[in-house]
Amino acid sequence: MATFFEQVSEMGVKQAVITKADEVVERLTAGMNISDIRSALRGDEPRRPNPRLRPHADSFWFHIRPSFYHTEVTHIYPTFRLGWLSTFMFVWETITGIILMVFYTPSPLVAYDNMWNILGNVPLGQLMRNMHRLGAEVMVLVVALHMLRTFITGSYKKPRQFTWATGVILLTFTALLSFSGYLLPWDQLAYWALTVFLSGAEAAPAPPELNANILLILQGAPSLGAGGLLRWYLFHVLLLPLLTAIFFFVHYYKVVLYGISLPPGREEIGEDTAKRVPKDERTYFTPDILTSELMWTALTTLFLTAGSLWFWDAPLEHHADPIVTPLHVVAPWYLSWSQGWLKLADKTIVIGFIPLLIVMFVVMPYVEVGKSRRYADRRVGLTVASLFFAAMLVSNWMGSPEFRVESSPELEVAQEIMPQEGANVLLGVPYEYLETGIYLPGEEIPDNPYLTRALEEFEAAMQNHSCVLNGNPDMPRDGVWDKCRELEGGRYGNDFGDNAMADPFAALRITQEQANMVRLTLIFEVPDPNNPGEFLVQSGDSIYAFRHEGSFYEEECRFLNKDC
Amino acid sequence: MANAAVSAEAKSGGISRREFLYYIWGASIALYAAQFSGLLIWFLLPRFREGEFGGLFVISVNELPAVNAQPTNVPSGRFWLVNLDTIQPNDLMKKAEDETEEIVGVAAIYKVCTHLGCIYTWTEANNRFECPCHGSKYRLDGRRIESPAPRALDRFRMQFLDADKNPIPGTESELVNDFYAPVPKPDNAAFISVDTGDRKMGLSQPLLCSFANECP
Repeated sequence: MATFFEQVSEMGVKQAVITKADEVVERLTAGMNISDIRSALRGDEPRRPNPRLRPHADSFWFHIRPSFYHTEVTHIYPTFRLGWLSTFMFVWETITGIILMVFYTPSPLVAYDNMWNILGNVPLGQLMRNMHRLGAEVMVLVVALHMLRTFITGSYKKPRQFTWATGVILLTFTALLSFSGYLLPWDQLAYWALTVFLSGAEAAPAPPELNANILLILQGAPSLGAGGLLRWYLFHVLLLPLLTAIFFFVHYYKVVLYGISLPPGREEIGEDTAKRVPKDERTYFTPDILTSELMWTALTTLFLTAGSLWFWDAPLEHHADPIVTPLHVVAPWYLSWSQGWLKLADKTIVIGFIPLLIVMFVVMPYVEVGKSRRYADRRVGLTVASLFFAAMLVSNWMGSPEFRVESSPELEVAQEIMPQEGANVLLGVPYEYLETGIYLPGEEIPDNPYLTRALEEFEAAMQNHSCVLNGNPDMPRDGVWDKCRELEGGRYGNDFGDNAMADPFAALRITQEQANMVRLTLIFEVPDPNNPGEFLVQSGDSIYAFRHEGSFYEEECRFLNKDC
Repeated sequence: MANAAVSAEAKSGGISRREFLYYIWGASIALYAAQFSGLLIWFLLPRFREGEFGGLFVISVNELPAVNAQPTNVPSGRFWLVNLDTIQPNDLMKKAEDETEEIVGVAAIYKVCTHLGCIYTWTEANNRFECPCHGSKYRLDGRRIESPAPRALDRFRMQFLDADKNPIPGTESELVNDFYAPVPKPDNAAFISVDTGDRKMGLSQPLLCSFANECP
């Protein structure tokens, strides 16, 4: 073959460069030159021999992919692209995760500071974190929907049982990946979610010595600290992604081997779709599938980026505090069902049941060997699945904040307007508007719209947790609050919750604690109607928060898009 | 190197020398992997001195709560101090139907919920300990009012000391059913010593709510 310089002297610089570029492209694509690529993108018929098939034989990335699909599976139904989306999310998480690793050190001393550095100082840091966290949640959702779809269309049946089994393991890894990332910010949310998870692991139905040692290995020390954070970090960034990648390739090899299953009515059990696709029902990977995936990549990236930019922000709570569990701790939504179960059943039963459930899913296709994939022939299976799905929805709801653990009414009011974590109505008032004094719920403060609004919220919260005793017309807002209902155990209730304060006095007291710091104290007093002079609730000085001039809660609120 | 005898043997189903040696190689790798896995578990077990996370906490008796009053929080030692007396019951502490003996004395109660490791708090308005995570509730002495907790709150071993910080004989926590019973406070007590390295798990008595038919 002529050298480049010989080509230049033969056909001039321009032609020689074009020829060279063509050659380079053909080497990179393992078989397609520039005009082949352009003809594929134009949708022309391929020349013979078909250069579009050569990459599937000669290049690594294309040989993983089939050279053609059955046209039936290239529509939205029956796959909904969920398997592809799961893979995309894994790649997405890898990329954003590696970027975040640049600014993160897995040590309790600096991890939380790192988070604020990423959020406030690193250019596009908050976007990266949002994209990673949003991606994690979307990935769990997509993988779970993928499994649901596979069940509904009966695609787990012969010969795809093993594909299903590896898929169940991949779902478990996905949930673990998402959850293991939870600890890394080292905030209250992270610390207590993992504490509950680890205590759950310790309650497994196994000998106590074994459980104790498993717990030690999982948290790296007798209590969750530096050792545990490092271990879960390595788990999150190394071990789990590696295992997930290995299982992904096993899973995908089987998908290619047996082909994506056709819609239930179009394929008999055991039929080898991938290898026997009639010529007229083939859709070739290049260009049709490739360009479709290009479009899906663009759309998914657009949705995830837009979501991270404008519609969703990853939460960050206060620094982890091993001696204070915040009120209303909830599990991440995809583990909500387990939180629901834990409220119902003994923890050892629940923790023992979860691995059992995974094993049941893994072996399901080897046990459920019905001869048809048609919906009409799988009434029992689909009914059982619907019941399971409904049970999971109810469990999820039971584990959700709607079904949260109620504390005493005055603490619930404080939680609504001045919680330990999350949007804080009172601390969101700008410092210069926090004038010292005592304020009543719903009081209107002239020239102070911020405090007035906070006191409105105070009043709304009081209405949820207060009631009026019969024959006590002196209460300031009689007619707005419910009449009290007497509950067992000498307590009172209203229509909002079991617990309510009867004829309470409530106020917000603002005092100057230091030159540049005020103390906000919520005062609640509920006289005991049966013992004059005694109080059912007397919070005294115990419910308070500090507001520092330089603590920028209002900026923080705006920054984290909190509504406060 | 297959000679006729070997291949004849292999065909008849016996093990050839070559096949046997491959099994030996395979078995040696499997054995090594098994040993390595065992060693890996050993390697991963964190190293710490026994009792590193506990210790002796000496607290003045002035910090003790009044009889059947709100407990004293000792965050540094991760425990609550309670002062119990069912002979003079009140809303915070009274005997349950199944309790025959009076509960009198001081106890040091571990701050961690026995359910899933959250830190419960004293909820003043409800006169009981409440856990924010899954809603376990406990009486002042740590006995369960409402589940899901599997057992009563754990207790630490404690002893009263005199003004010179010498142990007062006979005031050490006594084991009843392998659980530390409350210690009545002697008159000459000036300090309490709590050993957070020595914890006993709470008992699984019936839920207190079940006596009043109030369990949720």
